[in-house]
Amino acid sequence: MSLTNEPHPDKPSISADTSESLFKAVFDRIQTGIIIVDPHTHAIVDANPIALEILGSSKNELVNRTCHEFICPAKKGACEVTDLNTAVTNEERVLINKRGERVAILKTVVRTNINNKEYLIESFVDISDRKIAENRKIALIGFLNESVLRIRRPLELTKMNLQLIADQVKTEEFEPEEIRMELQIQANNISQMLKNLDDLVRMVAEEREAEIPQEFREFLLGK
Amino acid sequence: MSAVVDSAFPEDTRDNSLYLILAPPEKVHEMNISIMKKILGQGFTPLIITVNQPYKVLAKTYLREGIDISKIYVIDTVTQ
Repeated sequence: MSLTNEPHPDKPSISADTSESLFKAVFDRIQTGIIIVDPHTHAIVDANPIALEILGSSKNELVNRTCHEFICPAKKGACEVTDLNTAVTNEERVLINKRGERVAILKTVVRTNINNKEYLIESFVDISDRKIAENRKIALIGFLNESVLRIRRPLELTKMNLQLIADQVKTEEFEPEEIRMELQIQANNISQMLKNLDDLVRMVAEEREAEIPQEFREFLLGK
Repeated sequence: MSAVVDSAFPEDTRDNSLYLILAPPEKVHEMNISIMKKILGQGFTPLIITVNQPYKVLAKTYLREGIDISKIYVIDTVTQ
């Protein structure tokens, strides 16, 4: 089935009314935000429900507002499509919603001509969750690096100290009590390393309160 | 303050600078002995705060390395 009224040799054409209804149904129900913009004035002409949902605005609040003062962080005269002539196809961008928050989106902008008038059709999907997941991944890598850093050098130092103690035992110049004290210091050092690791785990558990199940979080926090 | 890495500890430190010595774990002991000899050789009286070895062990280690322990002061935080 074609949404246009152009005849197709093998399939029956559909009426203009049906085509408009189909377009309206797709526009209203597609899970992609669509905003139609006048490229000359940058005024928003229309927006579909999912775009309104992502922006947190009603259609009345959006229509006739210029896109760069409301939803696009680009300054006036610096529109990447109309002023800089840059193609935007599945690019990561940000929208500014009604609360002034920046929403990560994957955006495509195309020019189109409807009834001899030019429009920009901006379509986008909200990728905030994906960005949050990416940030969590980066934080996890940071946590692992920090853990390695906190344990590697002290372990190397402890290994060297234990080697020195072993060498001291071989010389028979040191009293058993002196050796015992030295070993005790190394045991204390290892305890401190373990405590540092526990602190790190606790910090992660506290920072990621919403993501870690309650019982596991309590276990990590030692409650 | 000057940061000194590894064996680049200067022969003459009578410039009133504060030195921070950085050493990899496997060279800490070697660096300790080397720097102690240089400090004593320049006529300074070192004050050592030991946190990793008791005084008796430190003294025996220095004696074995030919360091005159009568010229050093030690604050022993291990045995107190």
